[in-house]
Amino acid sequence: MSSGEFPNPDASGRLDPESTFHLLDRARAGDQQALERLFERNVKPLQRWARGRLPRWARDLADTDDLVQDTIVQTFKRIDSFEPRRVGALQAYLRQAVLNRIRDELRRKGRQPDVAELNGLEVDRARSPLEQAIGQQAVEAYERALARLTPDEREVIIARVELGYSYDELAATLDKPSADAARKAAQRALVRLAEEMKRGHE
Amino acid sequence: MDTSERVADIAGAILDGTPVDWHTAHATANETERQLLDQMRVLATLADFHRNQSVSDDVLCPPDTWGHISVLEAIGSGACGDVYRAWDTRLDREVALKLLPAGSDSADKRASSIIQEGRLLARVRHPNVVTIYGAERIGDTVGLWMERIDGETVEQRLAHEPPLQASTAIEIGIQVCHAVSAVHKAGLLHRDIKAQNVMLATDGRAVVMDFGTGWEVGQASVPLGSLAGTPLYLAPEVLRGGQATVHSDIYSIGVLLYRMVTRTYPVQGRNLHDLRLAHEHHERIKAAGVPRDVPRRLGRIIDRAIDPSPERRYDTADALAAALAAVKRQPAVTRKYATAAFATLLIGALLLAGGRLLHVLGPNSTQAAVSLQPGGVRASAADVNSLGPGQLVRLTTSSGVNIDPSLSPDGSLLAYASDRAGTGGFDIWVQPIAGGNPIRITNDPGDEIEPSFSPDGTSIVFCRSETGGIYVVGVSGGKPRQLVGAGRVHSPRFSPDGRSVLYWTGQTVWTARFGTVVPDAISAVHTVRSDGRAREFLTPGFVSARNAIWSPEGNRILFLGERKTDGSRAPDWYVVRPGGGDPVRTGAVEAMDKAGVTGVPIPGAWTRNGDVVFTTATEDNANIWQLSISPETGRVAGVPRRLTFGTAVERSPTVRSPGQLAFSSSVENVAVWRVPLDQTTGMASGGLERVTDDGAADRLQNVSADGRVVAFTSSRTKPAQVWLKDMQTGRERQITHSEEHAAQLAQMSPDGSRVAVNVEGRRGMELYPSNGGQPSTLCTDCIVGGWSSDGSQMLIERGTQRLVLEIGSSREVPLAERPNWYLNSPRFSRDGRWVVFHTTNAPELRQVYAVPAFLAAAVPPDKWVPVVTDFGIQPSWSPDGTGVYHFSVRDGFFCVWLQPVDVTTKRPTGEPKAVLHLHDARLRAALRAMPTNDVQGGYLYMTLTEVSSNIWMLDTRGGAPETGK
Repeated sequence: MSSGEFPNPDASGRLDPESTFHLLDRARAGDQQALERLFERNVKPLQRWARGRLPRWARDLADTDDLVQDTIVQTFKRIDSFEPRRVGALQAYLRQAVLNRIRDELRRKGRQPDVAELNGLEVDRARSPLEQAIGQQAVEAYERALARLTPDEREVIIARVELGYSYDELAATLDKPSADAARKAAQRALVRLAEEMKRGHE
Repeated sequence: MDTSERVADIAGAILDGTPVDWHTAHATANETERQLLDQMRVLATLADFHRNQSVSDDVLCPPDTWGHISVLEAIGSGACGDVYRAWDTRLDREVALKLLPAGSDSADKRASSIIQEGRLLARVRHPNVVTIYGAERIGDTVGLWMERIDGETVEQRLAHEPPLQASTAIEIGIQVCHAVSAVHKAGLLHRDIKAQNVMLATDGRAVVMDFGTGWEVGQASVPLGSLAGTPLYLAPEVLRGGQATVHSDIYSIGVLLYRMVTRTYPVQGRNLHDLRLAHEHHERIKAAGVPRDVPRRLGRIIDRAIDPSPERRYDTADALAAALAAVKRQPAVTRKYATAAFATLLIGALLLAGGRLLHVLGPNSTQAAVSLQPGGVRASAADVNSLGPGQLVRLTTSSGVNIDPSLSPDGSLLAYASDRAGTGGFDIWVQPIAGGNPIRITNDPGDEIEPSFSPDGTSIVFCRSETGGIYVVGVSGGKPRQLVGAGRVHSPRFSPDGRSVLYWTGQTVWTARFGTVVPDAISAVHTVRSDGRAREFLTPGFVSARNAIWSPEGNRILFLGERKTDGSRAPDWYVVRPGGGDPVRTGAVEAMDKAGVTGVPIPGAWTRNGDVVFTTATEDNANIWQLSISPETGRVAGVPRRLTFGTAVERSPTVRSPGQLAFSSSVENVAVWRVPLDQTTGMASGGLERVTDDGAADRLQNVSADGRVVAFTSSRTKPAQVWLKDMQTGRERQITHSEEHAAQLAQMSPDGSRVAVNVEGRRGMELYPSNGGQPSTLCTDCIVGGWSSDGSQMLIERGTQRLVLEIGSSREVPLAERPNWYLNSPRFSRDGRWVVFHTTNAPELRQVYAVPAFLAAAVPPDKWVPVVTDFGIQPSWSPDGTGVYHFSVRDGFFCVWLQPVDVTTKRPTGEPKAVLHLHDARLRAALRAMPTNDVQGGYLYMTLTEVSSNIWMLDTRGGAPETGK
């Protein structure tokens, strides 16, 4: 069986009624189905993202997935008070909510990480897996450069690189006319990001 | 392409998750661009990190079934792990199933590459490589199902017994090298060797698992958060973004060895950045310098394997294995033979994050990349009927010995010989090819082997044991009918019209030697009518004639024959009419020589389009080839084409049209073993012990008089050379060092100071000092025999004569001679007064005689003392001269027997006694090696072969690459 026998149902490009923007509208108007669709679209990428960003010792504290799911549910309860000022805002909003929730959780537990020996095999319990992978300095440089991008650029990077959205999802989330347009936008943003990081490095 | 375009392209590739050639990008960039590229690299790492988070952490809760596989439970941590204990319902066996999510656009590419590479990996058949049965995508999941391995990883072992004994680490290291070598020989790279990926199976194997980690080495040198150990095993050039190569795999094996013996790593860092810096600053702690009890020679080997410069490392995994084998220090004998050696596999394949499995070797590799067949691999028997060109499928799954495949004419059934009944011996089994349970159709306590279907598919002809004759039985069993009486008969095959059966008699092991021609001595080809009445002898005048097959029309017979013995390539394929006549030499061997195909080609089947499929062996493996022979002219019509590329011993090819080939693939380890003898009775008084212990073929030559030094030839060097092993220190030493000629036979002097050696392709014997130094020529045109106890005399074979050679004066004294008889393996008694030898004068007969040496004159044949007259080969004296040890097939198996003899006259006194039975199909004498033996120091030493084997099927249409070396 080859993968070619599985046409991507989303391959046709942008699906207007399914764009995050419209789903949000419908959700805020009380459309339960739209809300479920939004939840579905966001929960997995955020859970994945949170696992990469949380230090191992903190991941032990609580089930990250539950924590993320719970946060999104809580956030959606207040969905009618959320005014998207731009495309991609929901995603940024949810991400921030998850981060806040994690910080609260860590504070509440009041636990300090014990620094384990790191010879690579022992997982560095104090650092997030991402920091272990590219180093703390690189993560910081990346965050700084990210902050210097425009909001649109930032969201497209986060959605594609960190959250693993497909280009179709990207188009739907960021209101781009097609998957290809979304890819081009991501491409430009990534080059900009690398330039910003290089500048910070100089 | 200008810079901005190139950068945009790289950005696109990072976002898509496709490979980036950083090497080229860096090479063509200026300084400013390079800084930008560096940041791009960081982003690529980051993108890959997140991508892999999604693959490894997006676990799927176990479905109840996945395709034809029912999921039993998750293996490893959590109820939603991604590796499951599962049941393959098509083949009724337990497997490990690894599931990976697929679906979104970028993951799609990954999904197909996982499937593609899983199928490539299924080509690698090696006991130290986890066997992948299949890879498929169903819906949004990619699944790989594979052999389950029961055991723990090296990393887990280290957690509770740090660090490992040097000898254990070496043993594991050697097995890992063999695994990686098999992967390399298949044209692939492993790229992720580490302690977490090597399973120590409960059956004693080290098994290499989990190929690749889903990240492209050329794309971004990425460690994964979930795989924090990985970058520590990465070669510095790969960390810098270079291509993975054979050398980078060898580096990883080096780090694995380092970790096993020191529990640390040669280069360390808290993260990837630190690790890169540490490499750049050469912060490497040499294994030889680690303050632990690492043997210095092992330390040096490890340090060479992890040399920062790829070109200074070992060139091949085999070379590293050989270095490890050479340093292996062992007490005289360490490993006892366990009957479970090849038994129970399976349970708990712990695989880490998945994704990309393997990579085809790049052009920079030091080994020639094998061009892979386009069809890929299927590993599910249910797919056999839809096998596409170039596809390969395993038909048997038992962990024992499954050999001699035969396919029914309609292609629905497979018959084969197997020890799966657990009785030790072989029975004939039949199973539907499309999947289903095998049925045992014979149950004699001896061996039943070499089944072959009748043209109407209703019955099967087979051989019974070494001496049992030919029988016919119905495909569903019943009482077998004898066709040919007792005798050493082989490879019976019905003619295409079903009226007669073709077979051959005699020795399976090639014994023709240069010098004199003795017609009809070694092996011969016959036909018999299906009613058992008329027999026909087809190969009069041939020294040997064997492995005969029918042409597709049944009007010709092709066999491997030898008319004269003038060199190693004297045998050829001949074609003869079934009614007899003068056989025509095909010239096949010459055509193979021209194409660089080595070894003796054993024909397996003649297909409708005129191709003869055959197997031909190198020192350690054998593959299946084909060569077109015209049935009309009996001449070669084409060039040899290689069909299989396995690293095991692939033999017994058989064909079902169109172009579907079944064959057996065995892993065989030829080694020297010994068994203690009771001093009073001379019988075996303990278990078998292994004397030599490495992956190469080690063949016993002889043992010094004090029992301390064992001389053997070994293929651990290519070509095989003579080695000595000191049984007290465990040290092994190479004595001959030819890079062109293999050492064939050797005899060490009783005091161990000299070794007389026959070398392949050269007619003569050379004498090597054991402590090194130049050899001297002892004689020309002679074959080495035994030494006298005082080392002053040596027995040699010359033509059909037996001669005593005075070492000092080179004066030759004739001892025994008989026209048209070969006299083999002569050995002096301890007191030097008698010589014992075996004869080769008729295909089914081998006898042992003793002659007095004290007469210093030729002894006429009628004065020879018959010691063993039913069947005996490779005689050796008991120390007190009251018995002759030998191998005999008198109970249907090659076993060791002792014939008691009168101390003075050497005449037999009573019945032979069985010293050691070797009935277990998985450990036998005389499979690939002559079953040499020697009795010294209270032990019987011998050459034995350990085997495990399965049957595979390949579609040979189109896909196979053209011939090469």
